[in-house]
Amino acid sequence: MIPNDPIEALSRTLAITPSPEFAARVRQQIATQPVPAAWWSVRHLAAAAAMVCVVSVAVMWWSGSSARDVRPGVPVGSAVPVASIAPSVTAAPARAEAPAASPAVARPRESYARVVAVESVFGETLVPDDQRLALDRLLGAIRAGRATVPGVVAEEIVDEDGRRMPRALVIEPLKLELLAGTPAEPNRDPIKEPIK
Amino acid sequence: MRDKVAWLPATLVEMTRDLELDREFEARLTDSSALAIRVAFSVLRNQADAEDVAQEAFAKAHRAFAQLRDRDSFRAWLVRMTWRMALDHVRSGRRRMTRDRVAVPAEYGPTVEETAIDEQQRERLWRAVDQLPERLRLVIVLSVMEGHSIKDVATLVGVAEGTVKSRLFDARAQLKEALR
Repeated sequence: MIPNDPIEALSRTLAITPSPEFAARVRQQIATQPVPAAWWSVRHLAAAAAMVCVVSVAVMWWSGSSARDVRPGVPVGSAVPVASIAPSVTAAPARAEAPAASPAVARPRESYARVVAVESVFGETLVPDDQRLALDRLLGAIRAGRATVPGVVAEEIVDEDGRRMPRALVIEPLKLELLAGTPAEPNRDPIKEPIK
Repeated sequence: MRDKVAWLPATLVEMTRDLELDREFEARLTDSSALAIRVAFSVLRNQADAEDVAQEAFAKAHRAFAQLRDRDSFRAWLVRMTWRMALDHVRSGRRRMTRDRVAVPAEYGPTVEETAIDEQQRERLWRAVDQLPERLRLVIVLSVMEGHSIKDVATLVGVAEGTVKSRLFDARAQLKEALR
């Protein structure tokens, strides 16, 4: 018979006590269950994985950025701007007096493609057409992947609006500087359309 | 040598901490065994099954005990975990549970208090409890255990005291209606 108050009946029904061996069974199960991996090792693994991801993304971004320093959209070491390089070509004579570094020149960026930052220590030399053509061929070969250079550095200049503009390209031992009025769009095929 | 000197205190600190945790867990086990078994029993109606589920819940609690050292937090976590595991147990093995219930050993039989209630009537009471929504069922079950106050139930379930009061009211009303 159910008492008038079902709550009381429920209370009586639930008044059970653990069996004497319950605690011993729990202890035994705990003693035999596998030890979970230490929390710090799990966290270290997660942190290491996250670090690898961050570094990968940073390297990818950085290499892309450095490639844009040389010429937008062209990977460093495989292609080099040509038409934007007006024929103010500095050849590498004996070490000449280093030009004074302009404060407006942005610091060159490094990339994993062995683009190294170097200070220009060469003087300016205008080259004749045949040498300019040879240079065009070199740049074309680099772009086509047929020639490699130990390092390419793009120097930039920051204008009044804070925009970064290309100033020079350094392929040791050459330094190619842009002249005022150099068109922004590069010549895509310097061999077929050499700079006049 | 220097490495060993640095390693030894760290190991000792770790061992001391483990021993302290074990001691605390032992205290929680003694303190909360009945609570866990009763919560499981309220779902399973079988003490052997209830103890199995409570045992699993304690084993899980031990793995996470570093985060559950506070007594209230531990009991609340244990109640909710045991409740969920008991429900899972019913869902996954209702047929086995029914068979076991028939073959309950003598020591798991009805208590003295339970014998005062007719078996058929007790079944009717449990059927009425089972018909309650889960949120009402847990509240009413906890409220009749171990003299829990409204505040205790609120802490265990993790809701406000006002919520517990209203759920208790609803649960009582629905139980009376079902048992009329």
